[in-house]
Amino acid sequence: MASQDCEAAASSRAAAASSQDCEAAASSRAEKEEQKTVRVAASSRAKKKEQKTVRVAASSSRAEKEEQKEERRTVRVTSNDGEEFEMDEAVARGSVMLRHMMELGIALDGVTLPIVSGEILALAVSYLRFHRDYDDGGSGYGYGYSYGYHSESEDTALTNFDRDLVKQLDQATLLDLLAASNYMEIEGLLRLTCQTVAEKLKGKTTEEIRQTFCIQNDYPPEEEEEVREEISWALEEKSLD
Amino acid sequence: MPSALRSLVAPATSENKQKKRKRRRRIGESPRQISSRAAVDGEEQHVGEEEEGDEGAEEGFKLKAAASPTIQPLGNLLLADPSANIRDRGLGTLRALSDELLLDVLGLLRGRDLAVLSTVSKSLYVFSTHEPLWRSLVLDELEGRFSFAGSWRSTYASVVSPLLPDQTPPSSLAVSNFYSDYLFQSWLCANMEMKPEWVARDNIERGRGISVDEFVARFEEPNKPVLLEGCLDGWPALRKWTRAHLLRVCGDVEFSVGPAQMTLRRYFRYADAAKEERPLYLFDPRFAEKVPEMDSDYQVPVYFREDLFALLGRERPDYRWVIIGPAGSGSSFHVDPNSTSAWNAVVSGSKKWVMFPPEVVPPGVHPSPDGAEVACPVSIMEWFMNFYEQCKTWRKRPVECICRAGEVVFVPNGWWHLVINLEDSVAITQNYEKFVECSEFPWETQCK
Repeated sequence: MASQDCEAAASSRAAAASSQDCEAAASSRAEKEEQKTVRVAASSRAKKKEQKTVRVAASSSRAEKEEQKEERRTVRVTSNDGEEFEMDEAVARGSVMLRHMMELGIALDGVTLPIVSGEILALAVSYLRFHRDYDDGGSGYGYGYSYGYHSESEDTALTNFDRDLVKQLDQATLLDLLAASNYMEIEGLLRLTCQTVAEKLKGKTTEEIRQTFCIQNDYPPEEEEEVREEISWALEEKSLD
Repeated sequence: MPSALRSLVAPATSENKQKKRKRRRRIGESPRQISSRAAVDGEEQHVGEEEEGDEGAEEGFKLKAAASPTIQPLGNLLLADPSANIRDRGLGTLRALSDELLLDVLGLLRGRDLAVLSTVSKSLYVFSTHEPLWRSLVLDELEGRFSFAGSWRSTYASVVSPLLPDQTPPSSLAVSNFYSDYLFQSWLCANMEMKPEWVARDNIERGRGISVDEFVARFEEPNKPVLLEGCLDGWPALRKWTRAHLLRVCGDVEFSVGPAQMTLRRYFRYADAAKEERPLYLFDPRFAEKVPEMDSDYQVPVYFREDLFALLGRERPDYRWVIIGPAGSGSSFHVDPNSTSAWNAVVSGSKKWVMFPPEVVPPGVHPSPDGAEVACPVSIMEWFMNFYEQCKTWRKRPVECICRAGEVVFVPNGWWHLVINLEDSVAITQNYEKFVECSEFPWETQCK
């Protein structure tokens, strides 16, 4: 009897437990369901939001693209030490190299210049940006040239900008900028930097040039004398060092 | 020992290894540019290396007499101590610039400043004595008023500071251990001769004594080039135009020579002495007005007498030129403007022609989309060195020939052509417009 009771009790306990379990289970299931519902709801809300965002993004980017199509496309140019510069395509066209890359469609993900540092690229970009505002545009080849189609004040502004740009540069930077403008095919900047270096070579004696450019004299004395003799016509009016 | 190695092992001063280099021509240069010189006469000095990519163990480049290189190509440094190159040491901070860029800077200097540079270091001596720099200075400052003194540098000096009768000009310094591809290539193109295999091929169609109708049907209509023989037989110019005669008749008349005007006498003096990559070329569009006798010494060959240009009377653009130049002078690849055709008659000497049809752009040539600008290697010699071999395997091969005295080449409209004089040559060329081409004509000219 007792065992029976126990058994019964046990079974009833078990049943109760099980029913409790069930309840618990049920309730937990319900909870879970609820949670699931909540989660589903949440996720669907999120999805809707996401979709909304996507729709908004899509439409705005389409609009952007159309806007870009109409005028403002940009190109990203990166120096060899990781500095990035974003500029309008119209500005970038001042570099014939970039112009060709854009025309060929290989500049869409940006361009990295392996031999131009950030410092130099910054100077080149500032040159391109400033000259773009004064350019009569369109020709590609003529970009960067001052064809004289500007007003006097524009010409002065151009000259002042160019002069100030190179004035502040130390020699190493100037030479690097010269090489970079050749590499990037920016005609006007190449001419400007070449002219600036040439100015440093003009009207100087032999020794002055050696000092300016840290050049070691590798002439034995008798050969140096021979060369001076060769160009005596050029030294006539100058005081020899 | 393979011939390639032989050249590297031999002393660097006597043999050089050629290195290929493609250089881009500057924007704005006219299509009819001067090429390098190629002498047919003179002693030959073997350079003795194997040309890259050639299976037949070519003999290398033959140099003109008395050509002695002081500049060596960078390849020679492979067997020398790299620190032996004096280039960088003698440039100081300027060594950051490439050879081309440094020459661009030096090209902005006046004569005195350029001369002083040669005293600074041996490296700057080599750069500052680069002949094209001095040629620009002479032509800019003196235009045609100079007597060529053997080199452009000496010519400039002789004008600034004329030598007394018993004075001899100082000789140039010999510099060793200077290695530079750019400057070596420039020197090589100025001092080498045309290789026999570059002038060997002659595949143009020829016609002798054909009727005008036959010419039109076989060549003008289908736009094909042809070399016509025997149609200059009546030209007095063929027997009269010797150098002596021309000097007598118009030795002191100024003709167009590149950017300058020079007397014929002075031009011959230059042409006889110049050893250049791109010799100056006498190319004058007004010879008939300047020397009326020359106008009556020739007549337009019968095939080309129907000429739309003639209707323009005095307003017609330049259409005829007398062309005089030494071996090596010529025109690099171009297409004649305004869709004109041309004929080119050799009075004396001989010319090598290479022509491509309109739809085939020659190797190494990069025309702009509107055809207004043509970028091609600096000189004709460089084109032959670096690009001629390429078209051997092409399906559409170029049309080639040598045109000799008494012969005429017909250049159909739109055809690319390159011409180089193989010896001292005198020629007459005319552009013309056949009537059937009227509809292709640019509007502006039509409305004239």
